[in-house]
Amino acid sequence: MITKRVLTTCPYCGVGCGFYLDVRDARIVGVIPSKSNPVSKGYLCVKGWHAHEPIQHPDRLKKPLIKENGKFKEASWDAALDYVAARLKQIKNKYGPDALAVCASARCTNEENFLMMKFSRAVLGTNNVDHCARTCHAATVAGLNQSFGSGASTNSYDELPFMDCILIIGSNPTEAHPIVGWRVRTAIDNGAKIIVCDPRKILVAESAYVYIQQYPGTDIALLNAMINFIVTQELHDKEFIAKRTEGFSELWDAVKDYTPESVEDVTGVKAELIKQAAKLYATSKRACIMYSLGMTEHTVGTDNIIAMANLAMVCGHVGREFSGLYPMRGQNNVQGACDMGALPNVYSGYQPVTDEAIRKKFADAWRVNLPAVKGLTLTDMIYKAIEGPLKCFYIIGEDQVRTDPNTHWIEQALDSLEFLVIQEIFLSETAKKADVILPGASFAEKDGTFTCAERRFQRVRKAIEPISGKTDGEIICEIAQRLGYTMESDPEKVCDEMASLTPLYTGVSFERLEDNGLQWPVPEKNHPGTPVVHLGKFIRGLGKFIPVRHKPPAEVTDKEYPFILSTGRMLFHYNTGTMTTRVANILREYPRNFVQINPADAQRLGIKKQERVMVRTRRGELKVAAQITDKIKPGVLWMPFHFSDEPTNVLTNNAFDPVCRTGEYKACAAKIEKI
Amino acid sequence: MQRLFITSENLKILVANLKKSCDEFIAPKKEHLDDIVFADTKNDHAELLNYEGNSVISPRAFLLPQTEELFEIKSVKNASFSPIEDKKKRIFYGLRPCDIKALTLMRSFFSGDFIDLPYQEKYERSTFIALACNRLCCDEAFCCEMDAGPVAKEGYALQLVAIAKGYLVDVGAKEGRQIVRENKKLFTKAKAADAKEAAVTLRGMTKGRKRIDYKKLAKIMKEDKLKPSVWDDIGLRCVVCSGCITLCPTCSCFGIADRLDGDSGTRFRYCDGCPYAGFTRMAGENTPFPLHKDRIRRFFEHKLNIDVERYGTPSCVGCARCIQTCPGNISIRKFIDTV
Repeated sequence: MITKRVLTTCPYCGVGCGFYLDVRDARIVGVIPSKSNPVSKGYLCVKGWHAHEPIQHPDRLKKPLIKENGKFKEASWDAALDYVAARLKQIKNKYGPDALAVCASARCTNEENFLMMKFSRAVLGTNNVDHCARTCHAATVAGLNQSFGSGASTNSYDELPFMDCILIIGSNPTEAHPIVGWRVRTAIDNGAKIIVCDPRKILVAESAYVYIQQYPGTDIALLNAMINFIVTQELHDKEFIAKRTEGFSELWDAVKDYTPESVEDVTGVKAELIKQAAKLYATSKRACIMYSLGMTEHTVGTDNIIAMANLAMVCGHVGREFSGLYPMRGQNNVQGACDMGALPNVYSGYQPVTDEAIRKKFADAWRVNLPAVKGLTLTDMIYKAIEGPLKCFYIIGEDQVRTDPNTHWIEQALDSLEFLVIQEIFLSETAKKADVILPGASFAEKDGTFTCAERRFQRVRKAIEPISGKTDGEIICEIAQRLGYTMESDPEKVCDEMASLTPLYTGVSFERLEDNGLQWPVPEKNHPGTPVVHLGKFIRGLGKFIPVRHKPPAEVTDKEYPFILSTGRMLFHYNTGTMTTRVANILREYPRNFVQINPADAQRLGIKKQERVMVRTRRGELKVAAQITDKIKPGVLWMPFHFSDEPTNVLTNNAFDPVCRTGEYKACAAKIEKI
Repeated sequence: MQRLFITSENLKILVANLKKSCDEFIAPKKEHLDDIVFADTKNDHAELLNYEGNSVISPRAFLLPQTEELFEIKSVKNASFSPIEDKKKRIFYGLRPCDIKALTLMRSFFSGDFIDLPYQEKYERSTFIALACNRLCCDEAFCCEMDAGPVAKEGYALQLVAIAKGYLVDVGAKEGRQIVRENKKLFTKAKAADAKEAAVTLRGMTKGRKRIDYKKLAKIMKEDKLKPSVWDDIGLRCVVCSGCITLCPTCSCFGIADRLDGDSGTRFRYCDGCPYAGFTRMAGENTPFPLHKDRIRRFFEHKLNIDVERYGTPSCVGCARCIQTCPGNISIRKFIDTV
């Protein structure tokens, strides 16, 4: 028997924990945490502890499938790839390159994402490449970029245990990012005071110094009121504001009317609590803000992020150690997929496609002409598919049908396409709609790197051979080859190519990542990496105060739909559940969907514990069990989105942020009925 | 009990000889940076003959892996199965005394009222060589307090105690006597001075560490004399990661599931236990342990109360693996101190 332990990076959330896969012969029998890993230090969450189970599950897609007369038939790799290449070519010739789009994958490696964006731009000839950051942290990239000049976490995980105050807003670290949750727990044990702002009383709120239960979609009102109180009480950092920022008077114009008392009705929070929180955050020496999709998944997502950046700058809690903003990224490599330029407007390292000199650099390196116009966002791809101009979608490792808001609308878009290629490891709902399914490889079957939420590149290492015979990178390169363009698929060489074209990651190489990874920016070959960004000076020069004002969600409650429905992630499951529902004890913890409702609301409607109820919105309806809990604010409903056969996104609203095009998953109007 | 001596050079020869007589030589090995993990080093010879600290995961993983295939299901329709056997001869080298005690306890469970064949099959063909601890493996460890260190009392074939010029050797079970017989030339009789040196080292480690009165502890728990706030605090900490039960060298609970691809597949078992609500949930959504605090209490009760009654000794061996992996900073050691 060959036994080996292969050190790799967890494939679930964006924290980036390190563990060994325990391999005996060709079977992976367990997971061993790595104590030397700088991110996880020997800790894992329940998903990480079971990350090996879905890898060799019998449901894995093993052979390419081509749909004939509505039914999938197994095909050889050659037949499937020839067919895909021929159809892509045909559509490109008939309609032009912008009739095609690529959806890259936050689940795949950096190297594969680099190949996907290169494939889209250099081979297909379109900037229509995007990925699921659009549905999560696109607002962070857009917002923090405007305020600070860089759209990623400003500080590092290891500073968290030493904070005096952590403001957690729209984020549930215990459940969604448990090993960052461990650091928050340690901070509490070290005496830190925690402020939690969340419509649900999440576990960490039980240990919070101030707990604020605002209505979903009222965060700007809340944050502006905090700024208002801080400035009125002269608690702001005048020196920091004078030396390192611009636009404070414009900000004050916007927030001067947001007194804590004035936002009581809209937020549902007592002014006194807002004042307590504001005072604690402003007067703590070491204070940071941790946030997640509760802030970004709104039609005002970008403004939400800017409001937090404003608050941090007002108090001088950014641009130094033990401070800053921590956007908690949801997927193992969603940071990396953004970094690699799997976005319609930038190449790797956020280099704009519209910049002529940069475009020339890539065009020279790749020996092709590159398109100069920004491509479509994932959101707009859906609109264009329905309207007609978009004919073909090549989706890698994403289940749009289950993840995007308003399922019926997504289905309509995918049904409108002439050709749909899906590269997946399990037969997802989106894959069922494909013309061709190409079986991809899981994280355990490939070499490469993931980048976690603290901007750290870490190695991913192959434990077993790809079950389908090919890695995702190899599949893309083979299609490119058939379209007459040769791309290198070896991950280490792809990494070197990426580093050579990207000033932000110049010093990144597999060799240098071997021990502890590297935190970008790594602007030179021997640069040690950057744990804290904006030290002394913001990347954009001066931090910019941008005035933002409260706007209600796209859909507000009314007589017919009196509840605000919010959605989110729970500890035991991950996204559409394709992996976690294939882990025995995880599935057993929560096998089915449910809706959380406050006891007062339940009593008024006569709903009993675990009773099946109907949740309706203007877009759809879903029967689920009622979970009655005082952890949720009266007037608010909450549902997880993990269950493919009881899909919450039939209910959510396809209303989008005008800047970053992220959907409003966190607030829509709903009603709940007894059946 | 015989007490022998072996030089470091001869220990290398002994290991080479032992490797010839087994299918797998399971020994501590350095993986990435400072990570120590038990691994089969029969062919790569990367074993650490002496080392500091302990392995991340207990050697139990070779007898009861986190997930283990039990038998092949040839056809569900025809009720046709074929066994998956593991008849490998394994020699475990360098096990810490805490893990040796844990293996003995686990064996009592799996070979007690019900004999667990997949476990028994592997255990019976295994030989255990212990390496006593000269210093604590980590700050959190409390093996001495739990009567599980710094030396093992039973359950080993050989036990090595490192001294300046080599190792003292305690010969335990009959496999131990056989190893000595077959490698007679490598051992000499231990000298009184060597034994004294070892005793001084071991005393140094146990200094200031008192064995806890585990019977009294069990009694307090049984009589439920603890302040409720102790459990409430634990309830706010547990995030159901399952790390404690996966790393614990004495946790033996497992669940069973089938992995079917159409009509055929395998039945496997997986590490399961106290932290999960689903572990004790019954039909109709009835859960005897609905809260986190109830479930961790069950875990602690089992280790510190029920097993004391059952085996006369607690089944927590003080290895501190659960403490070091708990994202809620729950510490069974602190709990014991509080009680």
